[in-house]
Amino acid sequence: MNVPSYAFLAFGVLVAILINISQRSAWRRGVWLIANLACVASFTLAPLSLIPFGSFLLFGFVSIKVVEHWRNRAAFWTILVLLVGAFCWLKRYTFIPPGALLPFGYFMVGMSYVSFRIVHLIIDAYQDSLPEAIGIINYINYTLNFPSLIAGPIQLYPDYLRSQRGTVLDDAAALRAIERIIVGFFKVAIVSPLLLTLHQKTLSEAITSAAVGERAVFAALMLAVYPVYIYINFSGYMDTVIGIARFLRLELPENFNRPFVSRGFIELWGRWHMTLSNWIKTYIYSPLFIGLMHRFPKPSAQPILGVVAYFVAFFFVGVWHGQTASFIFIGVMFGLGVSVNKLYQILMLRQFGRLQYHAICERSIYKAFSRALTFSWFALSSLWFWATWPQLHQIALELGAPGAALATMLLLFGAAPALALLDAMQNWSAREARSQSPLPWSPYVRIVWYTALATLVVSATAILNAPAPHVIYKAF
Amino acid sequence: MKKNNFHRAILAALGLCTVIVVIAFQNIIIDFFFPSLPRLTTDFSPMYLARELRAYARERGAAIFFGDSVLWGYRLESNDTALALLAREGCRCRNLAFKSGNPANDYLLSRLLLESHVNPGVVVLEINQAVLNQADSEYQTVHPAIWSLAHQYLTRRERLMLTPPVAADGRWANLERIASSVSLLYAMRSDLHAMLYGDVPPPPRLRITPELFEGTYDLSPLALSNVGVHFLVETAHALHQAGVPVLAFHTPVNHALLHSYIDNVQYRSNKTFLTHELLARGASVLDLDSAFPSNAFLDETHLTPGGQNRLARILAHALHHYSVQARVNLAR
Repeated sequence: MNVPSYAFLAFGVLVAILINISQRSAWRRGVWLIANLACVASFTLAPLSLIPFGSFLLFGFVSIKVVEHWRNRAAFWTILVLLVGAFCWLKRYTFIPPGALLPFGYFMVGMSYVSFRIVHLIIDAYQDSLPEAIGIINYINYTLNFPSLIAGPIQLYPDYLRSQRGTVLDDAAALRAIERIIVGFFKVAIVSPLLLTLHQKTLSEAITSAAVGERAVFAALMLAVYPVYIYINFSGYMDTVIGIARFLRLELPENFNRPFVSRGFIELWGRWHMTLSNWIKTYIYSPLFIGLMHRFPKPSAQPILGVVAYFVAFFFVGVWHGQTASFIFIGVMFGLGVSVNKLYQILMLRQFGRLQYHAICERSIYKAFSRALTFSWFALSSLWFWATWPQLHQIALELGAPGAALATMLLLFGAAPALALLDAMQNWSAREARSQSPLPWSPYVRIVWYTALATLVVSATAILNAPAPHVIYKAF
Repeated sequence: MKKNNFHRAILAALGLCTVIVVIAFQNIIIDFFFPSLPRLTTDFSPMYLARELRAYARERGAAIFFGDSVLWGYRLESNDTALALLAREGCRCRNLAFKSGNPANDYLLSRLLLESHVNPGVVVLEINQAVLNQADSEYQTVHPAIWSLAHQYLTRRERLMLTPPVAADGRWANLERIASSVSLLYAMRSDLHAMLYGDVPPPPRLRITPELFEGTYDLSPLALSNVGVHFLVETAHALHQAGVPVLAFHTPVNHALLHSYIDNVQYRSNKTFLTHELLARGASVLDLDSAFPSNAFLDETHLTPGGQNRLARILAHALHHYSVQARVNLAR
């Protein structure tokens, strides 16, 4: 079952109807259990291919019970290492010798997100900070929660329990959820394919255009379009699953908050894939930072330890995104982005003091270039998401050093006014939303707007899913 | 309560009006801006074909080509086909060849041309003996788009000869017809898809050996009872009766590859039979069957860009007789 898709939407509607039949907790847990297992089963026709994933889940549950009962430091660390090892092995990380991997295909959908949830449960169980002992049904429902199975958001268990118990679905909330689903589909079905096409076109022009200047302009566009494409695609998915989850009486956490207006790489990760960065901060950055401070207790070393902890934590974010060596490079880029940002903040504070530094940060031109620099670094880091080393080599050859420098400058100086405009528009829109001004928020305008979007989505999917040929053609 | 219901009714009506306006807007955009493609896509829609025929009806004296994957340009870019080369040289060529073309499709297309008041300078028919193979039901199948526009031109006996396309009838077909009549975007979704994302990709390339083509040619003696022959001669007859000149050509075949199957008396005799039948119905016939060297082929009949170029030169020369001008440098 693709997400988002009409099949997923229909599945969500069916589960929502069943869940809302009764308010009894046992009924709802039962419906969730069947729905979550059915969603997993929809990805495969071979039940045997679920065995590795199922074993991984079982290992996670047994581990939680072990650390809950023994709280033994050695056992806890052994379990964590084994779990991470099993994850890398099942995800076929390229540093594992091919001979050691399972020699057959198996189900892996959402394994990364499931792993985050399991690790969180094990650590919290060890620290005795789970709100209640987790039973097997709650464990399955939480780890395999179908709206967030494939790509998150990574909701922590206490929040998951709280949101399930306290979510109210009145008319206004239902309408907002429907609007959100429509916007999500619109982003994924219409805007993101257009951006991907634009990215491919600019890539081809960046390689084939005659003049260096032209190649540099297209290369800058190519760099700029890809992060926007990922954002639209991923946030569209989030809008859809968050909207659907509301009908299932579940409030999923937000994953994006206007990321491109960030004025630093650290702020970016507070606005982009927020549940992942919160997880990383809670379970990697903070323990590492505290551990380093224990080892190097000199107060003067503290800022540098923060820089190191940031680097390690966001290096991990990069590496987590994929199984190949390219992602080590992304990890380095992300790690450098946050750690240099942190170092810069420390140096600026030392140089100017808190008040003056804040005053500098509020200057329009400074804000514009901070945003542009952040976006440009993110765009450059994203190169390794879509291009292989030979492709990068070819692009670099075609551009040459002057072309590459020009493209980077164009990206930076083009992003500054564009993002300033975006920020101004988003601020205006937020002000309008707060003031509840009559026109854009009237139900009449909203019904026209969202119906138009929904009609466009249905139209676009009609083209994208144009039927297979009726005539079965032979190999001419 | 009453006020609330009224409010909801207004919202529902507004939503419905929005849907109608958006669909109407899409229809206008597609009607104005959807281009005429250089060749038919694999899944061309009835709406697209009807649009093309309407466009042909507005011009006089063009050369209209019927054929299969050879003329369509299998495994080639659309601008490498013989017809694209002819068009670049100034010939007003209209390509109605498509990947699964066969005489039954050609017959229905010719009837559609005549019914749509298209006035071509000449209709060029490609004759591929492989598609006259009675054992292969593929060649008795009509493209769904052509079937939906032209099946009424078939006699009862002719309908029984053919395999109707899947899903041509039934509830879904009715729903599809309704949706297609309301929304041009829905009706032309396969054409839009092909325009945006490219046509259905060909299957992986196999190593070409003669064994692959065993059974491709049915070498039993051809007669008018053969489904393909019936529709071929009916096509020539219908066009001739309407005063439209017909130029037919025997498809170039890779004799070096297919030597063991087709270099025999029966194959030649079938070719002669077809030539005679077409001449008897007023068509002119070009024999290109063994006119191309083996390096002009990708496989048994499909031509390389060089082969298409050679075909373009021959056709340009032949088209001069029908006042369909192609520049001399190509015809030389």
